[in-house]
Amino acid sequence: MQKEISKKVINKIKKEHIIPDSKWRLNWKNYIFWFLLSGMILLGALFFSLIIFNITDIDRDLYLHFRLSKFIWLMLRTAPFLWVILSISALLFGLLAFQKTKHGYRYRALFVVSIIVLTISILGILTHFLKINDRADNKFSKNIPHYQKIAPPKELRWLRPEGGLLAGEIIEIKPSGVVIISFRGEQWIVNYNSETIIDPRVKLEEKEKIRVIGEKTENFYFKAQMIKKINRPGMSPPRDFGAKDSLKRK
Amino acid sequence: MRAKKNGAQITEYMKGINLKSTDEELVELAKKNPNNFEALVDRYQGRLFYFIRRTSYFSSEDIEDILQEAFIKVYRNLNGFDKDMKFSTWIYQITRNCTIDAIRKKQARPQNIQLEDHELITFFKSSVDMENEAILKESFNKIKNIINKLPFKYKEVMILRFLEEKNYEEIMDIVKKPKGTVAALISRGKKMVADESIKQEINFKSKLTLDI
Repeated sequence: MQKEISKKVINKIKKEHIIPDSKWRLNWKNYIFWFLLSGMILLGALFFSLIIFNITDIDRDLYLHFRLSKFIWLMLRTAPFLWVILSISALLFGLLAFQKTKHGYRYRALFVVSIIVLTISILGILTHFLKINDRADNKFSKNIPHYQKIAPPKELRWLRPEGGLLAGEIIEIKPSGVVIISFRGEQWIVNYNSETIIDPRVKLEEKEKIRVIGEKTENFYFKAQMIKKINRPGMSPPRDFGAKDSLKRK
Repeated sequence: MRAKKNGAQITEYMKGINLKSTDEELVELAKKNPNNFEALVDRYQGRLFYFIRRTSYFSSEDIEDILQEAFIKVYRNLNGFDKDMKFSTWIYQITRNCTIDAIRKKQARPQNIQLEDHELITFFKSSVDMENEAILKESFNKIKNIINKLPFKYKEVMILRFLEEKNYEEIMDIVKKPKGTVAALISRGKKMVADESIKQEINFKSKLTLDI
């Protein structure tokens, strides 16, 4: 029986002119899955850096000013969900691609996920420091229609006067306050007094960009409890700069 | 002229191959000349025949067909063999895939695998500590029933571990599952055999140690 099998196999190989397939032909799927994995990691890193980009204006003062529950509520309402969902999708597709590589079966899903998360985080932080996320955000907002609807800009976190948050550019100085134009193009009178905590870097001069924590007293009037400087290029003038519901000042 | 050429080929073949050639050397020789592949087929056909027999319910003729198909597949894939794993592991992996394909084609589940009596006893002893041959003989039908009832995914890794005597890394590559999963499957399979033996009132001591 034994000799018969080997003879049959060799005869079949010769008769059907079977030859060993080339390395490239045997491995092309493996190369494609490695390529997909690399792509998913790079995309994941970009999405992760856009998450960082969108939450870097959250500072200690914001946390101290609000109660924990309100702070969490604010974070949830203004979280960059699009980038979070896309980052998780890149991670999952990366995991699937890795598991399809030649030796992907050797590793547990949890281990692979940990390695991909670590790589995405490191590259994402690097992307943030290189300001690639900032440039990408600007490019997306210019080139992708309805981008601001699907990925609300982080400035929106500071466009919640009812929630005690307001930000914009100073356009006029008043004796007891300033007039600012918000990132939505609305004019607000921001009043302050001796109890207001003002960031020493804030000069309260025209064209200066500030963010204010306080409370809305009436329509387009805001009482400041804390005034801070906007020093990140990301929070620059509104993308659709121009008055929409401008205050008719008395 | 032709006879001279054939003679030269045979001499070359004999020069390249001897009994001590490693699998990897034979793979390199087979890539150059299909005649050299015969040595690999001869070396593995017996082991693989029994492996297919142990993990399926096919007749000898069917097993030979699967075996032929597996060897042809191995030959086609010779350039894809990387030295990251042993050749024996690789050829078992391909043979297992061919066996599973054949099972799927027949659209039946590999319920009753064909183990020899001594293989059944070895399999059973991997899970329970029993040296009393009289009890083993007396309970043989029950033991056979217990092993036949064991789900295929446990049975397969236990056959590879205790009958084919493969280590965990090799089993991992053959069944394409992480090493931890292989260890868990073996451990659970042993426990299932031991638990079922208690139910069937076979007198024994449980043997639940991992033998990585």
